[in-house]
Amino acid sequence: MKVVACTHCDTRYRLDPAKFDKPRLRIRCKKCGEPFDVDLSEPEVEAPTAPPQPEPPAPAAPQPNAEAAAPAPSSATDDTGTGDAIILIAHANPDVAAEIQSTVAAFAKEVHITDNGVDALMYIETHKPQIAILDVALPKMFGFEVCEIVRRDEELSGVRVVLVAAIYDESRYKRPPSSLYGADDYIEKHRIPDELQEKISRLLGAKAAPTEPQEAAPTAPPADTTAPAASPAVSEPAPPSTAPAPPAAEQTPEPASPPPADGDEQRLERARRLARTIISDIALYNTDKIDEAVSGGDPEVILADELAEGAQLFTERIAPEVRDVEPFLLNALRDYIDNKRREAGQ
Amino acid sequence: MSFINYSAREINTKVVYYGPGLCGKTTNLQYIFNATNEGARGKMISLATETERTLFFDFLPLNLGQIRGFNTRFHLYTVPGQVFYDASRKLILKGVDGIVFVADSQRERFDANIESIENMFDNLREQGIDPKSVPYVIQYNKRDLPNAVPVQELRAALNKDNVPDFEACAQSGEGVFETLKGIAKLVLQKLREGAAG
Repeated sequence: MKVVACTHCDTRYRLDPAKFDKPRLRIRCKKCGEPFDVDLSEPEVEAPTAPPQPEPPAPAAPQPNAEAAAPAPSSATDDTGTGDAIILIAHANPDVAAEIQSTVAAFAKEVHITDNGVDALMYIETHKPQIAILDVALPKMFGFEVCEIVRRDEELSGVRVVLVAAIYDESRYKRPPSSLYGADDYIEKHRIPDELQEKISRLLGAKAAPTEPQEAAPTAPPADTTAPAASPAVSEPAPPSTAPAPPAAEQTPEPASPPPADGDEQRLERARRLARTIISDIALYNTDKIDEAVSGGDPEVILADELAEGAQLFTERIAPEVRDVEPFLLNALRDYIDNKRREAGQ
Repeated sequence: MSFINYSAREINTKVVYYGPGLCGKTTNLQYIFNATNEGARGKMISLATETERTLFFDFLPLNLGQIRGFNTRFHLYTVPGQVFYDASRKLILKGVDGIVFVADSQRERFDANIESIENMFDNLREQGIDPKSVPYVIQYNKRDLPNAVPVQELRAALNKDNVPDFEACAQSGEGVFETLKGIAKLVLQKLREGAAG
C-alpha cells in the first residue's frame, strides 16, 4: 500500500500499486473534487497520524484504470486484519458509498468502490469479490442487470450480491421487491447503518468462508447456520440460481458460444429485455391463457399464436448473430410462468 | 407539426401520449375528457377493443384558451403501447410537437418502460427528428399500486435527459392535469422560441 495525498487539500488515500498498469496516474480527490497526479514509483508521503476520514478517489476521466483503486480507510479494521473479504461497493452517490464503506469496513481486507454498473461488472469478473453491494439504479448498467449477468456465470457463484434500493416514500410504497434478480439480499438505503452489517455477516458466514468474520460483526447472529446462503431477508422465494450449489441448473445454460465481450453482453441484455417485454405484453393482454398456463398447462402450446407473433417481432428487432445465442423468448416465458407459479404457491 | 392559423388566430399543436401497453395513456385522455367542459373540448375518438387494446389511437382536441390573442388547441393522441404495434406508433408520431411518456410504475413493467422509451427515441430518429428537439415530459403512472417501483429507480432508468416528470394515478386523476400543463408549457415555449427565431 502506498499513501498519496491530494495536492490541493492534502486529503490522503491509500493505493495498492499492484492494481495499476502504470505508475503514473491522475485521480480525482473525493473531498475537494480536484484532480491530482500520482507517481506510485516515488517515495510515499508520510503517513498521517490522524487520518482525516479519507474517501476513495474517483477515477479521472482519461484514466479508467485508476478507478480500480478504492482504498480502505487507513484507520479502519482493514489494517488490523480482522476483515478477510474483498468487498465491492457500487453506488453513484459518493456519500452513500462512503457510508457503506464505513459500515462494512470490519469485514474487509479490501474495499473497492465504483460509481457505475459496467465497472462493477468488470471488477466482479476480474476480482471475484466475496460481497458485491450494488445500487439498483446504477449509471451505465443497472445493478439488477449486473446481478443477473453475475448469476448466469458459474464461475461467479461465490459472489454474494446485495442490492441497495432507494425508497420513494417509506410509508406509502414500502414493499419487498417482487424480484431480487438473483441477488442474495437487498437493503433499503435508509437501513444501511442498522442492517447492513448483519446481512454481510450472514452472507459471509453462510458462504463457508475460510476465516470467521464473526468477531468483526457485532450484530451478527451466529446461529444462522441452518439458513441457506440464498435466503434473503425478504419472504419471497429466491431464484434457484442464488443457491450456493445450484441444483442441476435447469435455467438456460449458456450455449457453446464464446463468452461475450462487453458490447456483446449489452446486446444480449437488450435482447433479453425485449424478450421479457414481449412476454410481459403477451401476458398483459392474454390473462386467461396465462392463468391456464400457470395452473399447469403447457405455456408454449397455449400461447402458440402469440409466441409466433412475438418471435416475428423479435426477429425484426434483434440481429441474427445475437438472436440465436439462446432461446430468448422461451426463456423469458419460462421465467414469467415460473414466477407466477411461485406467487401462486405452486 | 404545429399549425398557426393567423387569420383565425388559432394555434394547433399535436401532443402524443406514448408508453408501454396498458400504462394508462387512454385513461389520461379519458380523465381529461371527462373533467373538461364541453366548450373546451371536441369529441374524443377512441379506437380500442373491449380487450382494452388501443389498436390505432385516441384523439382528443382540447382548447387551452387564449394566449396572446391566439386560440390554442391541443390535439392529444395516444399510441398503441404494445410492442407489436410499432408501425402505428411511427405514423402517429409524425408531426408531433410534444410527447408525454407515460411510464407504468409497476415492477413487472419496468423492462417494458425502458423498451418503450427507447423505441420512442428510435422512432423519432427514424423520422429524422432529433429526440432532444422535441419537448417531452414523463409521467410515472399507477403510483397508487403496491408494487410501484420507487420513483428514483424509474427516474434513473427513464429520465436521462432530466425532463419535467410527474407522479400520477390517472384513474383518480391525480397528476393528470399537472402532466398536461407540463407538456403544454414546454410546447408553447418551443413555439415562442421558433417564432422569435
